[in-house]
Amino acid sequence: MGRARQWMRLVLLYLMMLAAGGCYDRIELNELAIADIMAIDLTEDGLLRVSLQFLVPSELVNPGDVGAGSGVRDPFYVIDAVGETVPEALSLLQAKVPRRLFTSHVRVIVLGEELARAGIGPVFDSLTRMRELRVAADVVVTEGEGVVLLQASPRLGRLPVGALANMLNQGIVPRRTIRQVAIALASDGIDPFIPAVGLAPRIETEREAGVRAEEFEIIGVGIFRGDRLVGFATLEQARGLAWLVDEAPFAVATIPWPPEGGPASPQAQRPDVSPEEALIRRDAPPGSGPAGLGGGIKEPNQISPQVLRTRVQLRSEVKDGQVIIHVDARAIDDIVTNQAGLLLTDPSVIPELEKALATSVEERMRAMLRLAQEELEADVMGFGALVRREHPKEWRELRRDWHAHFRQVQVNIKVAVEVRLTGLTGNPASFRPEQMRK
Amino acid sequence: MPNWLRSLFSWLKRRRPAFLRPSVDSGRVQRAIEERVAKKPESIPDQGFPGVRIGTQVEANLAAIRELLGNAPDLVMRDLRIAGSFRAAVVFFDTLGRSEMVATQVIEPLAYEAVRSGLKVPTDLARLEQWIRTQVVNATSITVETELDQVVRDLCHGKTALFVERLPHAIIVDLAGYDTRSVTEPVGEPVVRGPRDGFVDNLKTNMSLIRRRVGSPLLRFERMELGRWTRTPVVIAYIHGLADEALVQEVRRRLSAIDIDGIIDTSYIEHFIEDTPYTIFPQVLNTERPDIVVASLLEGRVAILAEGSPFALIVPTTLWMLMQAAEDYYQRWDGATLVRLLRYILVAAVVLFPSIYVAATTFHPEMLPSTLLISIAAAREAVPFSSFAEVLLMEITFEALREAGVRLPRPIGQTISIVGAIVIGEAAVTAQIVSAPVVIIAAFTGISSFVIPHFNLGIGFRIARFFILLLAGSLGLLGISIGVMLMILHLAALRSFGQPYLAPVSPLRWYELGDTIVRLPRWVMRRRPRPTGASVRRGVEFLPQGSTDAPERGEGSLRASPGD
Amino acid sequence: MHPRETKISPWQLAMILIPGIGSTALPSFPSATAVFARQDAWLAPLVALPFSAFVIWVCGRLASRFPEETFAEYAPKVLGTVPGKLCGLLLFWYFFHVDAAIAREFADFLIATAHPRTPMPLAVGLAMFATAIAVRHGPEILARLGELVIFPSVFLVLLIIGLAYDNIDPYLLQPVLENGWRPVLMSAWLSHYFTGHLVLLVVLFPAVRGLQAGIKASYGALATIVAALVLVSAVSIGVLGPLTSSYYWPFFKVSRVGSFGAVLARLDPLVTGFWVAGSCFKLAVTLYAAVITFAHIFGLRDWRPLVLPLAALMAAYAVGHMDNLVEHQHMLIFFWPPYTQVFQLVLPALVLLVAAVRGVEGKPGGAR
Repeated sequence: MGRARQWMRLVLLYLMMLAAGGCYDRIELNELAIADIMAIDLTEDGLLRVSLQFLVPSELVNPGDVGAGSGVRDPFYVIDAVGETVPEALSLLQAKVPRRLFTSHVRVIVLGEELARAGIGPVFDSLTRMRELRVAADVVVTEGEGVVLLQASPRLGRLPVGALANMLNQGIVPRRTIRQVAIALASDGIDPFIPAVGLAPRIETEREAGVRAEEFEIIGVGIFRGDRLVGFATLEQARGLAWLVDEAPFAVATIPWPPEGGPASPQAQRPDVSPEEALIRRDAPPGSGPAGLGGGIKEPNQISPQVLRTRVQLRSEVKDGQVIIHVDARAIDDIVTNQAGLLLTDPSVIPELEKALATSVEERMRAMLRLAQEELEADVMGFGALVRREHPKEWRELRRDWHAHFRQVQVNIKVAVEVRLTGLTGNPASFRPEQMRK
Repeated sequence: MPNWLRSLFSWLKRRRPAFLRPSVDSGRVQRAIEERVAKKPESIPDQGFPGVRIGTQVEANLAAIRELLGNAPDLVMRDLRIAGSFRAAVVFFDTLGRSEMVATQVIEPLAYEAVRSGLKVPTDLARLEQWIRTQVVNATSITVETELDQVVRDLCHGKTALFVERLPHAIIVDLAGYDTRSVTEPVGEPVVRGPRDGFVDNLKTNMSLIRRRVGSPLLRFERMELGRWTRTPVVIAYIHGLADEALVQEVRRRLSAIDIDGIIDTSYIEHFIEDTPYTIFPQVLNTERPDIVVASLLEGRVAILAEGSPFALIVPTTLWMLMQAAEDYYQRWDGATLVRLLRYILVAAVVLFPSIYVAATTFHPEMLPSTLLISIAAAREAVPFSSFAEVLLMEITFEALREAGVRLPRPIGQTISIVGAIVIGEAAVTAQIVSAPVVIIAAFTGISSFVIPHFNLGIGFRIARFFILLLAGSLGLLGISIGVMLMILHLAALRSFGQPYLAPVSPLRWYELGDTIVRLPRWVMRRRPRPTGASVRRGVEFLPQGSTDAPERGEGSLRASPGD
Repeated sequence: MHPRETKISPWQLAMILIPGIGSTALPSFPSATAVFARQDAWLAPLVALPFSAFVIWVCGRLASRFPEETFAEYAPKVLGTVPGKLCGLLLFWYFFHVDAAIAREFADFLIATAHPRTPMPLAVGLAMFATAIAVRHGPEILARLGELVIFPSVFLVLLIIGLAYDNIDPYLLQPVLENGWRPVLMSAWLSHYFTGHLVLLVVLFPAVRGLQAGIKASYGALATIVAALVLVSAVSIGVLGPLTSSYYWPFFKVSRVGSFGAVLARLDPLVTGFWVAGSCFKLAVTLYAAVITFAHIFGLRDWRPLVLPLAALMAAYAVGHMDNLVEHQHMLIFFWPPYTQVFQLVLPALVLLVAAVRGVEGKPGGAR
């Protein structure tokens, strides 16, 4: 029994394999139409309109190299097709594309408002079942048609999808992937939310005049009840949501100083400037501006913290059918602006400042809660799921009419902010000592 | 003829007194020699003239030798009279021995010095021979031979024979010496730090390089001659007590089973003593470096050297040994470890990189990051070939360049590589015959294949690369998986002198892992690896088998009979 | 009767068992168990642990009663020739059926995830061919192959978990025991199908050097497998939550969550690659068991010639015995557990019981 015979057998098998045409799933890269964004809209007659943005690799890599002197063309283009389901639309779309559709690189899926309002459940079956799509692909909704988003041509980033994915990655609002939305759809006591993205025009430079110049812009968060879109949260409210789901943004918020109730800033009641008063004005904080030109910065006395690290813990309590949610948020902040001239070198100022910051965070969460509980009745924070985890017995009672209970949920918010840094300066560098405030 | 009769005859043959055995003096024997040389010369290296003794007449001896060596022009036969009385003759090849040494150390003392310095020449023959050996001739190595075969063999190995009238044997003086390369740094295995001497083509020098490094009296050299016609001296080196006796016995057995016309290089031996002939992986390590040989001897391995070859063979060998360079042991352990890790990663790249490229671009484009995918797709846009064909083309081109660079004289070789690199790398891409990523891959795998310290292992991996590339081109990652699995299975099943090829990783021996993929500090590696230790003695992992028949791998180790 | 193979060490036995049982379980495992136990599916292997340990105990008792003999050899001594041979045939059928099912699952996975247009006979045939080559080398080489497969696989599993770490939401594992123990027991019943495959030991124990150490190694292997199953289940549920039971191969899905941004956008083809190797290994171990059992039933001198024909037969059966993935999954959940229990638990335990009652023992030393 020689090795030779075994090797011979192996070679024979291999030849047989080749003869049988073993290359079943083989496809060359230049036979693929690579798509990077998919938009799904609902047409007026209730069909799905799937649009794909395709990339033209050669024009992406060597712009203006291959095209026959037609000037610079966009290295990507959009084609759409209408069908009953997503795969059907895709197969119809194939009829319009010379190469094989390749959707494995779709990194963002855009859902149009109409579709979202009609319900995303059916679409999500395709999105999770199809082998090609990534479960980690981002999902966004739009106000109006989703396909519009495919027309953006952001300047930064080689691909529009890269720009969009990066933008979502900044954490301005919590991002949501197919997997997360699918989990929320399949879970008890939690409603999905999906970031909402729109278009914003660029400031046109002279060279760019006339060129389509639209950038992506995150406009907030689409709030769903069940699988239906019921409304949008603004960017401000979305930040509150981010705190509540413990994906707080690396963002800057602003509070006025002193917080409500303090003495108004001195220059508020500034009359015409006399030479003596001009002297006094030197002691007022900068930024008040001459009265004649619109009164200067609207609210000059602001302090902006940069949130460095956050931790939010939610706890639930059920007392005779009344659900109480305790939110315990902690944040570590860095002060990036102190145009109010607060004397930050004084340690006694900090606790007061921290309290004011905490109030502002709470206010932001409250704004989101108002929207969710009163206006939209959508449990996007997953309070129901929280109750289910912590009080499975009570949950059995509550789940039947959770959305009604959800309205009544009482939320106790406790925020502890710790100001750890004050940027690179202590006292405001541009202020003179007598302009500082304690 | 009945058996007892036959054994009786052979006993008689062995026991017959010296005067009954044929000697060159007899005219019949002389004629028989002439006959054989004239009619059946090819039978001489096999059979020689067993049992033919040296005669007492110098003339007859010289005639026989002259006949056998065919009046060789480089054969010197110098007549002399010892101290003016005994007739004698000195015979040697002046191409192998040193004439001036023979003149000053043999001829001069015998013919003139002895008398001049007042030594008394003994008159009876027995004492004459002893007198010559002990008092007259200056050379260090002197032996006495009575068999014609042995004398001729010694002559052919450069020794000098002294015949004295009426003395029925030849006095053999070892004055061999010929021009050889001097000991230089080994070209194939250079180091930055470490010993700079390498083996040369001279067995004696090579043995000296080893002996110098091992002071222990237990260093053993065993000599044997291989090759019907070349009668190449071959030496087995091992350290008695470290090398397992069963292993040494096995080496002896496999060597003595070799039947071949000539041993030109130790690689001839290697091909005969491999456990598995049908494989792309070398199972015997060859090296030019005496330090590697000595280190291996200290691990209980056995080295095989041969005259005329600067390469020593070391058995048993594991894959890990072939992946180690001598340098690893001379640099600090941390650097050496990193270099080794790099080497293994690059070997994986040699075997898999082109295949993964083909599989990723033609079967699984979803694997690649979008930006990379777009770059590759853009590069491939105008290329007429499939990825597989492209890679195959470039790999073959690279192999061609490499081979041409090695074979050509050095100055031209460099030109070839430059021209090749420019033509292939630049022009082919510009003309969009192949895409740039493929050129990068071919170049990278090509360069990576050179980090394998032992050239022959590199060849093995390069063959494996093409094999897996074929599978990848037809089945994608499924093919790669199956190919790699079969390769690993094959490696795991290989053995070198019974020692599993992948030991100590598989079968796992934890405390020996310190010198495989990493190299731990020397003070950590306190235990000697047991390539030949207990496992061999247990007879479980050891596989006694014929050297040339294809053994069944892995199993059957309990079938101890070597014949099956 | 037939030449004994090279013995394997207890460590090598573990190296055969761990990948030989765990490899195919990992990607598919929590899918079936999560059908009943939902987020508690990770408890199932733990609950099944005593039952699987019982399998080892039974095999160990049998092996020490009949040293150096496999099931098919001692069953006739215990039960009488005809019933004994029949039992041997039943065990052979079990190995055969399981091997075909594994091959089928392998092909389904491959076709569903990476090679949608590759015909199933090719996939199954290729795997079976590689497997047959491996089996012909005997158990010692199999063990060495296992050793070489296991470490990269462990690394890959940890890598997947590490990359998916950000996406693991431990809250999805709560509430624990929402619906009590019943569903968990149902899932454990399912889970035992995987770990109960340790019945391979009736064939492997005779090949081990040192039975007691071998039994210990088997318990160690079982513990390792269970730990791996618990970990993988927990991670899958933590990432996929209520979707776990919807996906056929949840852990494979988990591998698609994480990525190495710049180098590999998706790990899943790599996972597929390892799955191929792991499946082939499991196929090989089971094929070995089937071949040995078959050879010993009929008292064949050498089992090697059987390998290729049996592998071909299995490949054919694997392709033909089921129509689609749904059927396979349904069978796996509802038919398979009670069915395999018969062979994994009942059959060896029965033989052990009868042997104990009748006091049948093999010759001490055992070698014939």
